[in-house]
Amino acid sequence: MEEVKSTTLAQLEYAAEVFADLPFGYLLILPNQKIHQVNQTLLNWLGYEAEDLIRKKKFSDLLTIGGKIYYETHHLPLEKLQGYANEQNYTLLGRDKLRLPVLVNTTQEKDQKEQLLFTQIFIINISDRKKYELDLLRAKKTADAAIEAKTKFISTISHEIRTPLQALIGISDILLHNDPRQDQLQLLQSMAFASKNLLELINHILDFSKSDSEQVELNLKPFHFRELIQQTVASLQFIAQEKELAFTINIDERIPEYLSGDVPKISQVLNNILGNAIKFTPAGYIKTNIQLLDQVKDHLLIHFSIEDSGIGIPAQKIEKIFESFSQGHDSGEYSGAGLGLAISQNLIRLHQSELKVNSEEGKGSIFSFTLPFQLVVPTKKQRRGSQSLLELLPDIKVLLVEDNPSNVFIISRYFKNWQLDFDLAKNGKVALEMIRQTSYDLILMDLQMPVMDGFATIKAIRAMRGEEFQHLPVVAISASATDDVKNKLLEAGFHNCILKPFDPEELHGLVQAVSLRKSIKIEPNPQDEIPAQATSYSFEQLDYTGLYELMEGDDQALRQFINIVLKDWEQIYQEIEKGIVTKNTALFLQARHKTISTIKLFNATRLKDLLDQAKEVMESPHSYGSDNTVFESLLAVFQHTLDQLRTYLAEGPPEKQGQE
Amino acid sequence: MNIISRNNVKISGRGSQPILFSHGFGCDQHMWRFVSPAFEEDYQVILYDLMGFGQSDLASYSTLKYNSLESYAGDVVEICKTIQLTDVIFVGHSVSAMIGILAHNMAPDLFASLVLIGPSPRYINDGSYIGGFDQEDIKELLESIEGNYLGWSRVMAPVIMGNQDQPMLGEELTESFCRMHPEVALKFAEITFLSDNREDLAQVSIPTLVLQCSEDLIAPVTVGRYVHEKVESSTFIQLEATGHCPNLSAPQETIQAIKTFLSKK
Repeated sequence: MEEVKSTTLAQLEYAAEVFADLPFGYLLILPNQKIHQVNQTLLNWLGYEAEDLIRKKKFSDLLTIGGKIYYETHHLPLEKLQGYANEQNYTLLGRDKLRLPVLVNTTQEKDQKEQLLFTQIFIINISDRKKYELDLLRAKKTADAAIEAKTKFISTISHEIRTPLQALIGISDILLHNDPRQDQLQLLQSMAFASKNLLELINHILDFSKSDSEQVELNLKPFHFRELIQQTVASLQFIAQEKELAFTINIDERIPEYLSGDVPKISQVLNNILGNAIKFTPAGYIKTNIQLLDQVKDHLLIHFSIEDSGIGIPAQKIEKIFESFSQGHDSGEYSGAGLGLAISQNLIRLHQSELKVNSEEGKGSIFSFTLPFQLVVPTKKQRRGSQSLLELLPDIKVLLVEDNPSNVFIISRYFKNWQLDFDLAKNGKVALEMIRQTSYDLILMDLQMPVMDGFATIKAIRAMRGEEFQHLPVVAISASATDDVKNKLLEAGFHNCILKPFDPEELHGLVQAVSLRKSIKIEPNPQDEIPAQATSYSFEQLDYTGLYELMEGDDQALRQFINIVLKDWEQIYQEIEKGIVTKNTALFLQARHKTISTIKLFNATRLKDLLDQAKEVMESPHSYGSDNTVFESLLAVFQHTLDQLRTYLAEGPPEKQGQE
Repeated sequence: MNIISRNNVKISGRGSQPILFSHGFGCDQHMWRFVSPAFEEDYQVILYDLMGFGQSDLASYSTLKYNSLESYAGDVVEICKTIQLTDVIFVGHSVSAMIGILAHNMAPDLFASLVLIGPSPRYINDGSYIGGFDQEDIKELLESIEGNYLGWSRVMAPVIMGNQDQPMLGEELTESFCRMHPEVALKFAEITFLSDNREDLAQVSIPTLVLQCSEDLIAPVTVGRYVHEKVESSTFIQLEATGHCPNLSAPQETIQAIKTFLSKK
């Protein structure tokens, strides 16, 4: 033993020579860290000559800066403490910026007095392995992209399913409220129940695909902590009571009243976990314990634990319960898509935390997680008798135009909760009457309604006399929010739209935006833009004064007249264009003729001049075709005239300064 | 779990004045094994593992909480308060030097003196301040640590050391050195190397020893001098030991320097 231990430097003098061509790199290092020997393999890899390294460099000189720090702080202490360090990953620097990925084993050789004699370093070239790792990484990225595409698909298809489903739910609600026959009642109830279940499932899938693809971001808002918990558990408590379970909640008294956090996500997590606890607990108790874990200045960590005396999770299943589409129990007794926990886990991870579980089959489970919160000092307004979960809304008046009883019910409930002053109209026609009589700050309107639908109503609102109706915020309730639909809504005159089913947060934000007089327009209205080429022509402003006189100041009559003229001229424009393009002079002249009487009333001299010039060109065979500018000008000015008429109908007479 | 088992606190020694050793970046309390025994005769010696290292309780670790050096300093204060230490000599190596300063600023009456081995209040160069590294270097370091995940996972598994001729090591046959959770190590590296504690130095008014190594890549002499300059009540000693870990490479010299400093107080 002693002899083996007392290897001397002299005995290893020739190690490098012996190891010269073996397939690993070799270094012999002196206690002063300087390289004493190096084998040919390593020299070949790095492109150095032996004299470049020996007695000149240390091993750490061959490392990148990051590697050097790592070597000093991690590798050397370990080597000093245990005498060796194995499989340390480095990048060695060679000649000409060469970088060589390696694995390194180092061993200290000491004499009998535990004095360090030298260190041997064995180096394995892992360039190939690195290459494979890169390939694997690339393969992983491809796979991730494929999963993302799939997630997107699921999200799209779920949205598509949700729309008709919403209709089914609405219809079954209406039928249920329409005094159905006794034999139909049960069927209808089953239908309502099934469709609502289906909606919940689809919503889960959507939430999951959203949370999975990390599209979700935390949206922090101030809220009242105890109230959130109480409101969240209220409905669950009811179900627990029906099952005769002892349902207790203990909230640490040190937790401040107002905190900032992502309310919908927190309440979703609690809903999922508590819902599960109730579902999987046939008898006994469910205890929720919420403790302040730590507070550093404004930052709080709150620990949630939900303990039940339920059926528990088998040990071999416990690893899998956070995976999507997996259930702790295979038996058909407990249904569900198995997404609740996966979603909760994703939502908790968004908070950079982890959902943990402790469970014993047959005894029960404890789910626990810690979430970070920020302390907020509420404004006086929030304090003032506010029992609302969300920030108080200023005094504004809202009109809800909606016929679907369930939607009415839900939205009314939110509005009542927020202590918001609102009226209800069953259809567009009723709404118009109410808008005339009362001044509203916001109209929330469904698109599909009997008697007068949303599109007709918005048109009528915008056509109403008075500046305020042009700018009155009207928000559509829509089942879809594709760009296509959005554009249609904007074109029709809506300011924005809100998706069914409602996200209270979104609804609240919308109402708030309106009350703060923020612009809630989502995209610029494309009609606001003037076509670029049009600017090169000189336009004229239509003069309505003559017409006003003619109508004896009756705006309504003027409006009707303009409406007729517009339809007429739109037809004429098409004929004129066709006449010019097809060189059909007769058609052109006929169309021109139809304008003569009305053009005078608007005092549209520029349009009249151009029509006359075009007539001359059309009638003179010599110049025809040589000069198209007159036709271009004509069409452009004509188009602009039509636009003005449309604007008048939509927004009323142009302002005085606009005429100057 | 109380902080004593949470941070694997070990108490020994026959003296009355407490001396608390706080290990640095890259290892655990084993880093003091050649130094701390020399103080057992005259002091009460306290060793512990920083959260996430050695045998600290990983279940108590959260990236949410341990996202700054202040949280680690908070642990130091909590340890001292829990075992009712007063008049403490704090010995901090590497990043623990700054953890000690932060703990002192949090609880100014707790420490009698500070021993800072290879301190650096900021590793990244900033204008005229030379910390020794630029942002790129730190990125590379983080990559190095990430690349060594496998290695560290193995280190984490207990190994049996057959070191019969070293009875001191033999006591802990099933224990391994420098255990750390790879993700914790990565996060810790991040908060260590991106920290800037230059402003905190001025608040220190208790006797302080700055122990500076030679050829220390991590904390160069200029940085040690900077700390000495900013802490008015400090003494500066240049060690002959090279590298960043004199507690391992030159324990005798380290012990001597600390003892001399303590005897002069």
